[in-house]
Amino acid sequence: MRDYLRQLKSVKLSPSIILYDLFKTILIFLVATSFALCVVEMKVIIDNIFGVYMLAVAITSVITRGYIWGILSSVGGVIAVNFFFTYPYFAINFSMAGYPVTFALLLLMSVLTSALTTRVKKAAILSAMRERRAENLTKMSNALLSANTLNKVIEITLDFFFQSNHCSVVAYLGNPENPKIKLFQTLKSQDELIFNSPLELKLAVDAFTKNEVCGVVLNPKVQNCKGSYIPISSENKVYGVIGLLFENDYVLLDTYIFSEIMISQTILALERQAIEEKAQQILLEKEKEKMRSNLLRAVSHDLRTPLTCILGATTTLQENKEKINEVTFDQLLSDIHHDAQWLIHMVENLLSITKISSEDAKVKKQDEIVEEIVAESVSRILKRFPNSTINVSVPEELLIVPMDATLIEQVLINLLENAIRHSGTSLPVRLKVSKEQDEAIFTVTDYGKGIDPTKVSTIFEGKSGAVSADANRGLGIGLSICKTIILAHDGRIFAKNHNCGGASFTFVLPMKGDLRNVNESKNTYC
Amino acid sequence: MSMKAKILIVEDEVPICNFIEMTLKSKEYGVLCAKNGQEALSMIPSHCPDLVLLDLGLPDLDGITVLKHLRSWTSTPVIVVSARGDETDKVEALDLGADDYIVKPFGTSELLARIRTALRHSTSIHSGTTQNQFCVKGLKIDFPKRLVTIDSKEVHLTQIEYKIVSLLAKSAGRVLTYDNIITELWGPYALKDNQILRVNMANIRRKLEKNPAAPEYIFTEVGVGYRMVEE
Repeated sequence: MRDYLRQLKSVKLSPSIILYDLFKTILIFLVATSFALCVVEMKVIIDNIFGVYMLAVAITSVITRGYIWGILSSVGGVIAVNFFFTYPYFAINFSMAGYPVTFALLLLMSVLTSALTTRVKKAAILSAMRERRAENLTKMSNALLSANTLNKVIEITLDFFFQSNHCSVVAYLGNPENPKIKLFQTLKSQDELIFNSPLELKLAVDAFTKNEVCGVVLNPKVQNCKGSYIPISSENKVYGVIGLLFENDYVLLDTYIFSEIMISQTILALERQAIEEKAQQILLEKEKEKMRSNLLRAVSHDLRTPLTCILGATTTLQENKEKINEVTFDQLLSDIHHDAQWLIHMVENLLSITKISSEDAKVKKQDEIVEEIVAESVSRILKRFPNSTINVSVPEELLIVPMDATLIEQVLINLLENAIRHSGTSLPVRLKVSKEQDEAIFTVTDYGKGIDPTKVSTIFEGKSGAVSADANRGLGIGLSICKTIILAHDGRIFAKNHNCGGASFTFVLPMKGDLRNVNESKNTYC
Repeated sequence: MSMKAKILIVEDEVPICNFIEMTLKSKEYGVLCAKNGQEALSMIPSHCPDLVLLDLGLPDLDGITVLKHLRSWTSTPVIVVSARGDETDKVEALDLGADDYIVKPFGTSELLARIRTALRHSTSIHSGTTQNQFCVKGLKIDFPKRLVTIDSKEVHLTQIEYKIVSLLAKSAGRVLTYDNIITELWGPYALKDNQILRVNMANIRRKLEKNPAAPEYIFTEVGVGYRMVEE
């Protein structure tokens, strides 16, 4: 990359700078001439009037750019001295002896002074620039360290490119044809249009696919392009492309070298991000694995218990038909009934888990009306527990929440069942739905004995940590399933003991859709 | 009642078949059993049952296929029995002309209630009687006057809301699918977008029910449709 960058070293100078330098040169020359004339007139110095012009040449070299003005100024000086101050006065005569030597000396001196001052100036500018860039780089790497998403990394990179180059910048993550992230920061609004033009986009894609710098930097005249595109790439992997669009269509070599350093910072950050994401993924996998094994353990225990009861009861009924009195008979039957019902509930819970995609642990969501879901859950739970009371309240406003209806019903049923069975009281259970900003909040509250404070934090972990396993059976699975379902909906679920005694379970679902569209289309029907 | 109705159970699981048979016999219904789809299709023309209890998961023919065959020549009421979670199956069966559905596992009381409703509807259709009034709990609908009252207080419904309520009331006890209602209200070419219907229904609930989250009159069968209570 650097080879062809070197060719770019020539700097185009704008006409205004040239004019300004010309003006300065002439002014200094005039001042020097008038000073010399005055001095000669006052007879202060007569012999060495060259000294005045040498000073003028030196000053000109310092305050103008390049060598040309110093040289011009020295030529002017020689002519002026010849014209004004040597015999014959006010006439040009180069035939005097030793004149070429004087002329050559003056010229040489002006060139030397120019060269020296130019170098000093360049060094000063360069060091200032480098200092600024080094500072920028440190700032950038600090900023990148705190970036925790890919988007943020690209944003920071963009920002620093913009700041340090004072040009419009575009950044693509992934192939610019179909980028994962595309961000602009532009000086002028039309620059965005330029970046989006097919020609520029093609250059960006080229930079990405060929993994080399494309655009102005290669051949500005022929390609008729405006931007320069630098791939964000480490040795073998191209992450994306940075595009720069300079105000004056020219680019400094230094900018490119510096861009490389900045890009390497970006790559470091991107790679760190990738590693972190991988680690996150592994953690998630582990979490899932843990949940699965917890579930299996809980299931095998929780299913075996009622099955044993059913088997035992039926065997007793079969073998001891004559010996059993009516009360025992009814008792055994109601036990079987109860256990069977419980098994059905369990199977439904397990079925619901299979609906959650195993790949990304997400569900297919559809817009549902909250009160319908609540009503169905409550009516189903009341079928099983006809003697309990549930006080339901929903907001007057119609809440539409994207969700998988059967799964959310399952969550509500599990929470309500826990509240009825495990609270140890027959006081009514409260189910309240409310809306806060863009979230629907469901709370199931009971007024029973509450949750063991030591278990509040781990209650969703799927451990049926009951003292007597049978008394609390199902609590573990039910709640861990609730958590799985709510997480798959990008929601939150938590439990706490409230002030009035008793437990309250709350889950929150994000609401994205609003009703406006529905109402509009409704009007066309009514 | 002199003669109880004859019911055909199409079910491949013997224990389930046994338990339903016992339940129905105890209520003095005449009971027939078919173990698979073919058997059912051959039995129906010869025995002419008053009602068919059709399991959707049959070993030979799909329950849906049996229903299609059946509906091509008879309007005998059919109650579909399905496993929970097969919302699409249920809706398809209802849209194909099944009268109602019941979800496994079900209680006997629920089953009997569904059977009663289906039988009553079929007789009322055959006899051609139309009611002028619908009364359930506090809700009263006067069809000729298009008047809806709750506890003798008039409820103001929009045109479309009244249509929905009266439609549900006329088939009270039976579930009507979203598509059913939309076709009935807006014609067969209307967009099958149940969101509009559901918003209308939410408004109706706010007018009819004391607590929209604990309805008394119109129940939602999530993913399927709506059902008006019967008694």
